Amino acid sequence: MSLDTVSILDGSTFVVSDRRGDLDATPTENHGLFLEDTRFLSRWVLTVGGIRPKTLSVDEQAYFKVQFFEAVTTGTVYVDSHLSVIRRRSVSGGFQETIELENHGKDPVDLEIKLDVASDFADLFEVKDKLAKVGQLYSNVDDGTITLGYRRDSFVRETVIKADKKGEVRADAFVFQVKIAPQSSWSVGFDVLARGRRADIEDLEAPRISTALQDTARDRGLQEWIAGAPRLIATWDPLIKIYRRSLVDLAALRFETGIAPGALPAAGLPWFMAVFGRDSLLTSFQSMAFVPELTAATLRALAILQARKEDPFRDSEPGKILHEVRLGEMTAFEARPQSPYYGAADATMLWLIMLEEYERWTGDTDIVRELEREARAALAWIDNYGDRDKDGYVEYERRQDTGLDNQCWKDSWDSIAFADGTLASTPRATCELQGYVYDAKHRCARLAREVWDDPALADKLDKEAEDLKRRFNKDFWIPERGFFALALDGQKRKVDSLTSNIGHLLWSGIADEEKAASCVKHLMSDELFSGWGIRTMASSEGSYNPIGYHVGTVWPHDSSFVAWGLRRYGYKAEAAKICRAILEAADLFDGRLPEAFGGYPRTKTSYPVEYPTACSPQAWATGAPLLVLRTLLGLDSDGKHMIIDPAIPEPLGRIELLNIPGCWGRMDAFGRSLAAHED
Amino acid sequence: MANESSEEIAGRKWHGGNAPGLAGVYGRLRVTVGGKPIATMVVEGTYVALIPDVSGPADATVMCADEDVMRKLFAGELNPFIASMRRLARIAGDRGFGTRVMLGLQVGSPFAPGAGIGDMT
Repeated sequence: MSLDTVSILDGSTFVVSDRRGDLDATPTENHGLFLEDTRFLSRWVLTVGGIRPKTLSVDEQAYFKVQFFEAVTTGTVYVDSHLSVIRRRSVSGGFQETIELENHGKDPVDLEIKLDVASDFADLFEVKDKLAKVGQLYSNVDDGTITLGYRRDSFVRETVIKADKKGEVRADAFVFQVKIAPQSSWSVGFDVLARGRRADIEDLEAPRISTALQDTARDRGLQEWIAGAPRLIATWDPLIKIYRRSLVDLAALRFETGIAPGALPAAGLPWFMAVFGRDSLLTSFQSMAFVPELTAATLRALAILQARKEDPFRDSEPGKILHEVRLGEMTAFEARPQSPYYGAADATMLWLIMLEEYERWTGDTDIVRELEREARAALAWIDNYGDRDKDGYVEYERRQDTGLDNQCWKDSWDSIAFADGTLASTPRATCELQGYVYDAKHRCARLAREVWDDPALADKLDKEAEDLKRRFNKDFWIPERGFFALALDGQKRKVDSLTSNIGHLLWSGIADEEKAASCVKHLMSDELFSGWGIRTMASSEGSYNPIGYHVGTVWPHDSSFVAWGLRRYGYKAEAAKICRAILEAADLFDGRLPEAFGGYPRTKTSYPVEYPTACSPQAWATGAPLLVLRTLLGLDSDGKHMIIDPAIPEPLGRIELLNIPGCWGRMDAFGRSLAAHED
Repeated sequence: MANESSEEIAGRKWHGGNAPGLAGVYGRLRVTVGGKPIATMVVEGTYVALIPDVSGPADATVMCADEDVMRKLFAGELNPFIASMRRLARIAGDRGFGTRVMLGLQVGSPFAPGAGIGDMT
């Protein structure tokens, strides 16, 4: 998010304003009140005596509420005002806002206070791509209430705005003529209710209550969330701030689907406040040692929405785990396929991996039994549909033009390219997908053996995984460059770019030891390691661009998984080096890592360069410091006990993580960096 | 429960039968049309039937805007997400169960025209 905007959110409802608190959406300013992928309010502009107040400070009290302190000035150099404005806003199903004016002068003031309102009811895709509306906008005034609406056939969305003081109510504004005595104040409260697809049901089930009451409950809920997570003690002070920021942002991104108990992490603000299979699963992995309940909710919700039939428009195939769900107009009228869209080639394997990871960490075998049918369907998808051409590897290719070109985590159009910059043909079998298959099959073999009482399936999966590993290490290896190909293209040619994807192979365990050693050298080289993290593509490659979305930027989550993979193969020092870089970057971002930042070398910049449209907070960037902590302390589970194997770099000193939840109950872990002579 | 059944509901005869996408799903789904309860869908694994009960226990309620929406939804012809977004149908109560049923019927439904075992007449 831009530094010029202020965002508050609650589930899929969020408000993006300028630092005055105004919403003034333009093609370049994505302000608004958003719910269910629709902008319910595009204009909310306060004037006092015809003047837009000047911001003095913004108090972001919690992820769901904010205060703006302002003064009504004449625009001169000096803030010579006797009139201050305080706007207090809290989001929930819309938002509630109190505007309070204080007259600090010795004389009474007569003022016109005006609040302009409007909504374009833009689908989030329309906001992003600047598209025009098809249906009809309307506005009604009735009994002091403004209703802004949009209708296209039965698709109806409305924003209902009420004030708690009488004034002139127009179709596009509330106007109040007030006199404020000296040393006195005047205030007005507004209730903005966004009526989405389930508005009539919510009217019956959940009467609207004041945000003051909700805020109390949410404040308490947030405190309980933080208290329920392990407590961190660290000698490197920024780590405390980064950890707390991650927990709070993860709390903010919690998203209740209504179809399964609990909340799963939404992908990120502002474009991705929706269910995303891959994002929720990877974030669940990162946060396993801290808030494992996120994983259970994620697994169950994604299981309910698992694909049941073939549908080319949605890239749906039986057993596949979804990529994305959207609820806006373009999806409702099938201009877009996200209802749900299944164009993710990795989410199915990641779901299986997380099922085993969750069981091993928490000891909850019930969920493995509960989801056995879905797990078997997911395993069947890998062989029946994931491997489209039966060459033994999972590959992807969209079925229709509305689908995604790239269905791996690097899902921008140009991410899968040869070293000379030529785009790879489809279908594309990216290397990390094969690693995920290997890992998923081995993990599910254990579940089949220990929980499902199906040793035949277990043996079959183990055998298939080892066969895959043997073939992969031959077919994907580029001996002349000493790393694994990014992918096999449609003609089964090795896509020879050096990318961060090879780090995911270490996480999965599919790489042979000696080949892993060569990959580690590349990962830690100046071409891939920028000094702030691992570049998505090495600076030596033809497509490299330090501000290219997936072809040169550093993604903190990507780096965190690379670090975890390095630990798996025993490269503790290298993992620690990456972890330290990520944490130092996080410190420079005031504790909140964006989804991506520029791949410029650290020798050139004393801070990580911002990527222009990066989401923040973004779930797996929020999760990155958590996986980094897990990596530094070497935390894992053998299904009964917590394993602790710390490797802490200077200057992080000592790290203590207390009350780590798991199948062992609660346990503490600590580690300290060793001086060179102790190492 | 028998493997075939038929009930007169909303002026039409509905035949119960096999719905392979509902394997492992069990429960009762109340059906309302235009706000009025008209039936209950009984789901017992891959067997599903509509019965005229409107007052017995139910795990969830599917609220359909009109009979045409109900017919398309139960035939697996209308994507339940699209129906929800367009306010044609909503699920209340145990939404996980209701969603499983609606998605499961998309795989194959005894209420689909030409389903053989259960054409609506």
